Amino acid sequence: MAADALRLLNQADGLKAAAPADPAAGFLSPTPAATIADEDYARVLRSGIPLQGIQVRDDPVAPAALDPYFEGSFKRTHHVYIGEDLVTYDKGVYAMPGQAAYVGTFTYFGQPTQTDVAFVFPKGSFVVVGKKLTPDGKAETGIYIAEDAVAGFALRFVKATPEYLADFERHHARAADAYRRQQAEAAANGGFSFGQALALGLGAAVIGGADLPGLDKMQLGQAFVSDVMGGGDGTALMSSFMGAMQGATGGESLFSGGMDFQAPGLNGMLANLMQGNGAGAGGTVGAAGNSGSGGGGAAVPAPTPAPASPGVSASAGGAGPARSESYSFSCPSGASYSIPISYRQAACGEAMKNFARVYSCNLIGDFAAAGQRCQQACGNAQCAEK
Amino acid sequence: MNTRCRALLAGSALLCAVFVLGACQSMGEGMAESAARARAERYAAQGNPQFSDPQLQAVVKDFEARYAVIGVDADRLGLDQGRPCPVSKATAFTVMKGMSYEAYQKIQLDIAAKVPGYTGISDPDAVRVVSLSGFCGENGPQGPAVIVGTTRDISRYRGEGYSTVTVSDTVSRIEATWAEGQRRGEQTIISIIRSAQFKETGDGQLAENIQDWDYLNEIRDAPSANYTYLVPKADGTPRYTVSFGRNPTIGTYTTTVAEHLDTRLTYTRTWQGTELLQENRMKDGQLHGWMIIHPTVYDGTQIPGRRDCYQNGELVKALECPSS
Repeated sequence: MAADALRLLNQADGLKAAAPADPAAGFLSPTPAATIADEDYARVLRSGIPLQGIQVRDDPVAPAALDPYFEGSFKRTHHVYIGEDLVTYDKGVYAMPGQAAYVGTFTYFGQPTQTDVAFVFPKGSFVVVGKKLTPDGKAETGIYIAEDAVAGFALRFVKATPEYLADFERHHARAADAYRRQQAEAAANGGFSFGQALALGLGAAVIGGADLPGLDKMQLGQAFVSDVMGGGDGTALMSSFMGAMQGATGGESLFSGGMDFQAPGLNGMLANLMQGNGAGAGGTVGAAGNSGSGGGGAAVPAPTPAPASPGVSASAGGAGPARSESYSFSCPSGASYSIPISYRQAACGEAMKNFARVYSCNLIGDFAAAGQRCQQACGNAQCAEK
Repeated sequence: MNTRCRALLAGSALLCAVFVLGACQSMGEGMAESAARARAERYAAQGNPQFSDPQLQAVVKDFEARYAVIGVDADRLGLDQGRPCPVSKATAFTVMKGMSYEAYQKIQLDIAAKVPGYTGISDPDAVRVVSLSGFCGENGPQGPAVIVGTTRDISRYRGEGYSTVTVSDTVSRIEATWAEGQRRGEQTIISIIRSAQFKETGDGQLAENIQDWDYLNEIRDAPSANYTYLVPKADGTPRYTVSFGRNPTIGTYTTTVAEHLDTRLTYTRTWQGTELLQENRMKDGQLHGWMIIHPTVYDGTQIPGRRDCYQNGELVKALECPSS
């Protein structure tokens, strides 16, 4: 039996060798070498000045060449439960070679960690607001969360609904505040203020602060408000979302070539994403592969910060000239907003403005009509251009 | 204390430590084995879940009657009593596996592409088909028939410092109605699998994989049985798929009922003994809706339950989880 089994297995190995290579195998692989040393992290902790580079995490079941890695900017974050600052991810890509990549803005939430041991491994959860890229060339905008992560080990991101994010944050904030009270500590200095975040509506802040094209954020924010608040009673949340969204614009943009990646092929994927699909929620990256680390310019500039009057810029896109502008308006309540939007067709742009105004001003009676207008002009009830 | 005395004391201490370590390991294994056997006995004593739906209840009663006779003994499936079907090896493989050899190979290659170190193949020469009743010609069974057959599947997992080869021999009894080479309508399939495990030696040969802990060898060698019933609606479309998994040695007493709500949606429940273990919903063959794992008790310890949301096969963190 053993001899037959060996013969058949050798035969099967031959078939495996002759089979065409899995196209996914080259997706963001191999894992590049880490570029950040311990002293670099120590410097960030001392100075608070952000850092850029590559950190490799260990996946015990993957060969070293396929270990997951983060490339991008790092920032200092306070971990409530160990009472110390850590260096965590800010903007960039978390790549799982051959499987998926998450590009966007990362937020870290410390979780209860055993500290009365010789080696403390901080535990926490990561939230990414951005895009998930897959080897089949697809890109999906969304919220992704990796809970119960242990420092140094692989993260498992799972798609999360805005409603779940809000619930997660509420639980996290309550637990952290309770822990702080229990530890009789003063409010954290320099770290994230959870009380403040709760007052603002942290979900809106996390989404609004993400480095995403304007319409993607607009859609996520709108989904957040309607999921969390139900029938549209979301003026305060939407306002905080809009405020955070404006504050996040400017600087290096992940999706407009503002950051140059060493991750094999990523610059090309991001460039294709912008050229082919603009700010749509379900874009296509193009064929997975290694296009090198250089280049990767973007066709559409990042949404511009709110100017005093509408500013408009246009650039060549895949299906026609894409336009980005800041739309300023006032609500019947007297509140004023300025929202970055981008579109290709003028009719869709107008529908988008109407949609933004109706939802920002919480004009409940006009919600349905705004959605219908988006559907007619853009082919999508939330004004995502087809 | 002189040097000789110190040396003797040190030697005694080392020997004691070795004995204590060995005793500890043996005691730990004994406790784990006792807990596993107690768990197996607890589920064996529970019997099977009972149902108010007459169709489901009839399946349970049929299973109980057959299991009392066949159990996990492959020799009782009737292989030696059947008339050989005059089929080619390729047809025999399709009859037994429900797919062609090429399709099976393709599936194995797809798995190998995703699982590092995996190789899988089925031995085409190990396939055999006999007929217990009904017609079985060159193209396989036709019309209502009862057939029994064998297959042998071989798999290997290679990793850093290990290589394990498993050879699984399956004897299956299939009661169904065949039309144009396909099984149709009501079906009962009893499969009994016995596996042998090998490790690859340095010179590329296979050696039997014997563990120091006998209980591991016992559970590895124990046969597993699966009794599956396909229950159709009046129009011939599937209504229930009911499976009973049995391996008394390792304590497997599972009952799985998949209710086909319509052509796209399926609601599945799994019991261990009579304890509901898991529920899930599927849409178009992918998990869609809450997957619920109920709390259970193992060796006196409460194992908490959990629920996860899936949407079109993807795990999603959500507070609400539509299933339609």
